[in-house]
Amino acid sequence: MPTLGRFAAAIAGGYVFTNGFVVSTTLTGFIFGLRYFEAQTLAWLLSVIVYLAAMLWAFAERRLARVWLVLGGGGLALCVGAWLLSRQLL
Amino acid sequence: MRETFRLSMAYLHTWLGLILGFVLMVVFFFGSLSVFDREIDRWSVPETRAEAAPFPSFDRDVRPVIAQVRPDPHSVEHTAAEVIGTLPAAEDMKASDMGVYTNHRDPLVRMYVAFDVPNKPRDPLLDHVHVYGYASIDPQTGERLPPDLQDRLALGTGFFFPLHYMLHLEWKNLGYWIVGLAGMGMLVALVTGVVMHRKIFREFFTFRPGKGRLRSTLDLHNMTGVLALPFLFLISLSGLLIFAYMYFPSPTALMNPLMEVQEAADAERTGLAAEPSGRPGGLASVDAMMQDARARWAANGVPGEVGEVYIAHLGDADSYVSISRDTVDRVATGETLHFSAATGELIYEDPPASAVEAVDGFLYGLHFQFFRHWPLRWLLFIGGLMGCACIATGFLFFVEKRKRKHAETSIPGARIVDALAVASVSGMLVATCAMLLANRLLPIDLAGHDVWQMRVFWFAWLFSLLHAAIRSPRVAVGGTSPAWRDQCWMIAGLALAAVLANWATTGDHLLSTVGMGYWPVAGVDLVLLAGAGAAALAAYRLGRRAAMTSHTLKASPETASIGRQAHV
Repeated sequence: MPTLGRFAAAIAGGYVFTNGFVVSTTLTGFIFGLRYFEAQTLAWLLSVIVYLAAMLWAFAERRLARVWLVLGGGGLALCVGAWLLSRQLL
Repeated sequence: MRETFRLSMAYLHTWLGLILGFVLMVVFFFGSLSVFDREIDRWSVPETRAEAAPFPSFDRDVRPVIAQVRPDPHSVEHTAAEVIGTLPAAEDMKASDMGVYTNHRDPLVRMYVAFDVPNKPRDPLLDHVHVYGYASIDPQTGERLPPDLQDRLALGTGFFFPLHYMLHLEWKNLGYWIVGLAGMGMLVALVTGVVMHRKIFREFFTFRPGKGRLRSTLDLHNMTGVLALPFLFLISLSGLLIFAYMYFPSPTALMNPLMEVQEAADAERTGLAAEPSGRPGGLASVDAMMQDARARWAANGVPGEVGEVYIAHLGDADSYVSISRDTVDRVATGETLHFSAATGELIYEDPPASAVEAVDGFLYGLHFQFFRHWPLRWLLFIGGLMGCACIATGFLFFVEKRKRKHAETSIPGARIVDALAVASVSGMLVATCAMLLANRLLPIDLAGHDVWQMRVFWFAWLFSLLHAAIRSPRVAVGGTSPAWRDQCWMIAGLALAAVLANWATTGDHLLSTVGMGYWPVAGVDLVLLAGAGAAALAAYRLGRRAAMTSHTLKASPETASIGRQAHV
């Protein structure tokens, strides 16, 4: 079932990655001087495009393991990083 | 994952389109109808067939109604499932916020009141849990609409519009997530569709209706897809952005403490209290604030009417009143003035939108379409229907391309997809027209009047699927299902019957509505008649073709190689 594995990586991996992107972009924008809620709006504005790109890449990339590593692993790393850093700013 | 980038994109396009196309068909069709949701409301609730009117006096007409509004039982039920413990009795709930709004297409002023509940939410991310109550006011008379009329199912805003974005699947917000995934699928299908066709500009001008089914179907799929590409991309994107906060909740989930600090800082900066103070306070004349707002808009060179009034923390010393200019003259929403409820003095004026807010506001407004620009509104309606045509021809191409091969090897794939396509294209129209007809024919005093209309809708749709399945054996031998033709006749009959039933039950026939220039009802009737005509024409031509090809079914050597390389 290579097709199902590919769809799972695109949808789930891409989803984790996009959440990582949104939270880290909100925080980065805020740190670089945007108002918090404006940074958040910007991140959500870009979220759909990022998810789209992640899904397409998941189908274009030959090695499925790499898709999971970059999208799933990268997304988780961004989430954890933003979570830790946001607590430093309080 | 395939040999080349283009082949993997083609593979993705085919299978994603097949799986999500059924949902997308619903989203695009009922989204198109929602462009005219207020007009469908007028058609389906004839007692409200009146001209739109400007915002009434708040102090005289709206204010007395606030205290009369009680929590809505449906909302109580919904919130009860979201919180820990049992909710207090509805009569003990305290109103906290209220909003009242109208629009240039609406003869009603609608209001909602949010009631506080003391319970903690099950999901810690929901920081504010409320129960809502509703009321509608007739701006012509200033009277509140009687409850039976106010709660009557209006098919536009009450049924087709929610079907468009959440499929009426409330459980765990499942409908929102399915529509969201389908919306992402639409974007993927658009990009992969462009990638797999290198000669995209030539295809833009290519339509070969005489060149065999497979060719013309593909041409039509490409033509609608390419012609409407900017629209299809932007409408999918903007629709997803409306719910992005729900689909991607990572900032609220992971940085809640930082967000709360920033919320407090924003409240400090603007002077608009995020939480009530707990001390009682009064409400000055809102009419005076509205007058002040109109004067300020006129002075700023953007004269306009009030579109919405929102009051935060009703009855509290920190209560404030937000007054927004109506959105007839622009796509984006916003432009709000905030007044102290107690003194009526201006506290804060929304600054001009930053670049981010301007883009966000434009995309949001593009999807909600509050503006007053009829050609643009029709263009968006037609764009939505082109999206439907693009999706439907995608199904047809999938079936046409495979049915001969599947017939030879006895695979049921093409037959199943064709039956599902019949149900999701013509069956959806059968269900919609049946519901409009039921809306006019079911007696108003029937218990469960609203529920019966919905039952007619869902059962008509289910019937169309069964009918499509029963009539599909001809696809299994490489032919065309007669279900398409049958259901086109049903659409034509039901749409015509709906127009006649509207005349019979309300007396509003086309000569009268067009003569009076009452376009909300005339428009729905005209679109129904146009739909009936198109469906009848399609049924007639399908019948003629079936008669012509029934004896030469196996003879035509159709070029099955088109796109073969790209499709797997």
